[in-house]
Amino acid sequence: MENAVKITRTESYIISLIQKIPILSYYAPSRGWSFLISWGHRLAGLTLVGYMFAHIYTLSLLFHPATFDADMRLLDHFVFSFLEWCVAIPVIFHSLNGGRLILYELFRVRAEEIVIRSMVILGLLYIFIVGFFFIEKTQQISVTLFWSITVTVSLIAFLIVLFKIWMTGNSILWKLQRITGSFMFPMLIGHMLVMHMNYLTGHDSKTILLRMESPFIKGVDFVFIIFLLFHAGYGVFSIIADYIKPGPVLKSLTILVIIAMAVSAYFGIRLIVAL
Amino acid sequence: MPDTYNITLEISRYDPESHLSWVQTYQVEAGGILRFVDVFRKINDEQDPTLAWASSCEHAQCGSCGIMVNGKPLLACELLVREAVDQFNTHTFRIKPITIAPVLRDLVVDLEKAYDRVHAAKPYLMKPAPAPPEGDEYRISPETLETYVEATQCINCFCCATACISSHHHFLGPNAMMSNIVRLMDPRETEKKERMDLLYGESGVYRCHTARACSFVCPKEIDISHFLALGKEGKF
Repeated sequence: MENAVKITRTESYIISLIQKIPILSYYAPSRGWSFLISWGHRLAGLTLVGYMFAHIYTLSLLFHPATFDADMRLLDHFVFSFLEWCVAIPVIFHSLNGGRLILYELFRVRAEEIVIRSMVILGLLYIFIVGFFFIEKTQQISVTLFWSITVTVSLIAFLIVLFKIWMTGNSILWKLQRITGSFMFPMLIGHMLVMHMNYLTGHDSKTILLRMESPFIKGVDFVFIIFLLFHAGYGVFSIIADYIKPGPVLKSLTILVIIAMAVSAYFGIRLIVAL
Repeated sequence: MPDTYNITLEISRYDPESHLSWVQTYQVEAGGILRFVDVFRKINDEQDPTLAWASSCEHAQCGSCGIMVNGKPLLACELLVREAVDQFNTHTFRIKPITIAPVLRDLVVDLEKAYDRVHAAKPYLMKPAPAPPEGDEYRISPETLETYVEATQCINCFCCATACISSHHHFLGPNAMMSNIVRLMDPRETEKKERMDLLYGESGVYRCHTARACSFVCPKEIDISHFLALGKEGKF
């Protein structure tokens, strides 16, 4: 079976430049790029978990709209805006690589060189588009229409993976990780896009509170947060379990992860129900 | 291309009596077509007879000479000096024992411990199907054999398990898990339930994160991650 990835001269040159970074120069020739991408997937996932906690906290300020708006004005500062845009990098990387893993593990897509190239191109395009929207702040799209399309795509991805995976003997949690991942793949990408496409959608308390009155949006957010927290919790557990032997330490850390996700779920759902 | 290379080997040493570990540096002038086992032998002959390393067949068939060179698990009997210089783009090589089993001395690890993982996967036909009545052999069609014959070339050198992102605590390891999956694909094996339980058990295939380092380092060029993915897909 063919293991070698065929690369062009230009790609080879770019890779040789990237490999000048010390940690990459060690692991790329010794474990391969897929290994590094896996590490990237973990680091991006952990970054997103941290961002998710911060995001839930920020949204909880909606109980006091004036405080929320004051905080959002702070985010208008160039540095915070830049950091917010940077979140698009782990979002798109984790999402696309998650898609790659599902294609590899469940749909026998072995053309890794094509998939990874597509990841790079789509990822760069996405980051550029989000940045463009971020600077322009003039686009308008119906949020209900946007989410209707995104949820439909998410449901299709969800059902395809569900039917593919459900009858296998894999553990239920492992299956749910893939299923929730497939649902969130379009949702997370869409979330970042729409929030920066319509500036007020994510930064103005009145606009957010008005949107949150819709039962459809409440439903979407409810499913999103449950799936997100499960996916995040199992992801973190999965990393911990690779390094901690089964025993009291692993059990304690697992309980800690469950508590963190449960508390976040409580605050998130309370927000959705109350607003 | 030069005929000889001046290479530096920084080798991890371990003395089980004193429990001391250290890194020892050797400067060696070695021919380009010398293998790393030959370089170790040269060190034993010319510089340091106490350096311990393991090998048996020295033809990449037994898997006993697995080591890590600049972080990459590989077979010392396969790696030529000139290939190492080209591959790692250096004349200095940091050499460590593979990490999948306890170190006995220097570069020698307790392969018995490593093999415990393979034995747990029962790499044999547990309940062979009865031979067809018309003949004395069980025939497998070339099409069926083609789907898994590559995996039967595994020599259990544990390079894949050393490189694996997750195989040190929970996971039985890529080679052990692949040996289970191969028997699930083998039409002669009738004990599917126990094998499925093993595949999807606590130390089973779900611990694999498809980092594909196993396929990258495999000295036999087996696409191990392909077989592990078949296990996750659940279709054999």
